[in-house]
Amino acid sequence: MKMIAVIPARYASTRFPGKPLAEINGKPMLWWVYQKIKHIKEFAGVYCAIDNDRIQDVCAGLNMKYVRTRDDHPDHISRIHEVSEKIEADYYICVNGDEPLITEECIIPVLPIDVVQEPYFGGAMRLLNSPAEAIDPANIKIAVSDTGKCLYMSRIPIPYPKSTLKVPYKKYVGVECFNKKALDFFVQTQMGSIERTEDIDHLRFLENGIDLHFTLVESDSLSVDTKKDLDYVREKINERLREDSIERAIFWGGV
Amino acid sequence: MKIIAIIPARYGSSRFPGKPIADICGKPMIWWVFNQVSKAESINMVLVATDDLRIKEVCDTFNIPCLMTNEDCKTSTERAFEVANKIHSDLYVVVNGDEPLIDPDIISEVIPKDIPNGIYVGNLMTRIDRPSEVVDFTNIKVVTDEDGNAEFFSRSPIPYPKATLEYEYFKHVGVLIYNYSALEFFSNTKPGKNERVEDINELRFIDHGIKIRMKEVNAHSLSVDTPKDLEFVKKEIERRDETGNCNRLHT
Repeated sequence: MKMIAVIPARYASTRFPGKPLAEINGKPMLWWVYQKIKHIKEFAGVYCAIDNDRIQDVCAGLNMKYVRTRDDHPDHISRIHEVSEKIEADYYICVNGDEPLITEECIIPVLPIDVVQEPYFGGAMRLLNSPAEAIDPANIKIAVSDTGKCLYMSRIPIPYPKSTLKVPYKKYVGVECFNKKALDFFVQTQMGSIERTEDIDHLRFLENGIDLHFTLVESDSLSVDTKKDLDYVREKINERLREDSIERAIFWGGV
Repeated sequence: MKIIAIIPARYGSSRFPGKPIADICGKPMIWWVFNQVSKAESINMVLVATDDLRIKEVCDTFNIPCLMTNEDCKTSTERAFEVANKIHSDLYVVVNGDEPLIDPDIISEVIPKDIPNGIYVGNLMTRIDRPSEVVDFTNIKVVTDEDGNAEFFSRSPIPYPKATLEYEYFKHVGVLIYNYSALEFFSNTKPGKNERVEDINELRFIDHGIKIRMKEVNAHSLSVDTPKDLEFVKKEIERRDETGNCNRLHT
C-alpha cells in the first residue's frame, strides 16, 4: 500500500500573507510540519504542494520535496487532486501547513489499513475543551454516530445539549486522508449548497452520500491564522525543544 | 444590617412537577436548600415563600418557616416582594430552590458591605467550564462592565469571541439580593422589552437602566431540573461527609 503525505502551502492569505514562511525558531513554519512528517515511516514520500516562486525557492533551499501546483485552486482538496494527477499513490494524506504543532499521534491513527474500492475520506478530530473554542466558527465541530460515522460538520456547536450537559464536543484537526477516487469525485462534483453556506469543503462528500470517517486523537495543535497564534506556537515549540531530546534531534538532524 | 433569605417554591414545573418536595434521602428537596441557606453568615432569618398548600404542609412538618403568597405571582421576585410587604428587612436574599447542595459561603458573597441608597440589586455569577453549558439555553450568560455591573444577560453565548479565544464565560447563579425599593420597582414595572424576548426576569432592571451588581464566586453545585438530576444529587448526598450518609441524618 503506497501512502504519500502532502502539505498544501499557499502563499496568499487574507489575514496572514506569506504564512507558510512565517519564521519559527529560525526556520519557516512549513519546515516544522515537513520535518515531523518526514519521520513517519508509513509514508513513501512527503511533498509540499506549493503555488508560488518564493515558497518554491525556500523549499529547494531547505531540501524539502515539492510539487508545483496552480495558484487558482478554490480550495486545498483541489490542490491535492492536482498532486494526485502527477504522483500515483493509494492514499494521499494531507497535513495542514499551518499546524506546526501537529504530532505523529494525530496522524498515525488516521491512516487506513486497507486499500478500498469506493471513494474514501478519513480525518482526525479532537475534543473541544473550552467554551470559547466551541463558539469560535473557525473551529469546525463534528457530530459522529456511535459507530464513528460523521453525521454532520458545522461551525456552530453541534449537537445541542438539550437533555444532557455531558457532551464531548469534537473539532476537526487538520489531518486528512483521501484516495484517488475521493479526490476525483470532489473536483468533478459541484459545490453543495450546504457546503457553500457553512464554507466547509468536506460537506461536498456528505451531501452526496459519501461517508466521512473521523478518528479521535489527542492534540493541542492549533491552526495558525494570526500573528498572535504564531507567538503561541513559537512558545510551544521552544518548550518542546527544551523538554524533549527527540525533538531536538529532529531539529538538528534537519539542518 | 438586617437580612432575610427567601426561598421561593412553586409546585408546578413543566419538567418536574412537585420538585420542591421531591424526596432526597428522607427529606424534601426544599429542606436541603433551607438547611444550606441557614448556615450562611449574616442572614438573620430564612423562610420559604410558596403558593401551594402541599408545600406549606411539608414545610410545617419539617419545621421550615413558610409564608403563603399569592398564586398570581408571575415571578419569584414578585413573590419576594409580597414577603417584603409583610416582613421588614434591610435586604432580601432570594435563593433559587433548585440547588440542594448550594454552598452557604457563596450565599454570603452577595451581601454588600453597607446598606445601599436607592434601588439595589446584586447577583452572583460563576465561570462556565464546559462548552455544553455555554451552548445550553437554560444557563443564563452574563457580561459585566468595568465596574462589575451587569451589561446584559442572555441565553445566547455572550460575548462573541472574535478578537480572542482566551475568554472565560460566566453564568448567572440563582442567588440575588434586593432592597425593598428594588422589589417594589420590579413588581410595579411592566416586563422590559429584552426581558420579554429572552424570558429573563433580571433584564427588567437592565432594560430600565438600573444596575445589577455582579459578584464572581465559585459555584458548581448541582442544579436539579429533572428527575434524573435528582438521582445524581441523591448519590452525591449519600457520599458526603459533612451531612453524614443517609443512615446518619439528623432532623
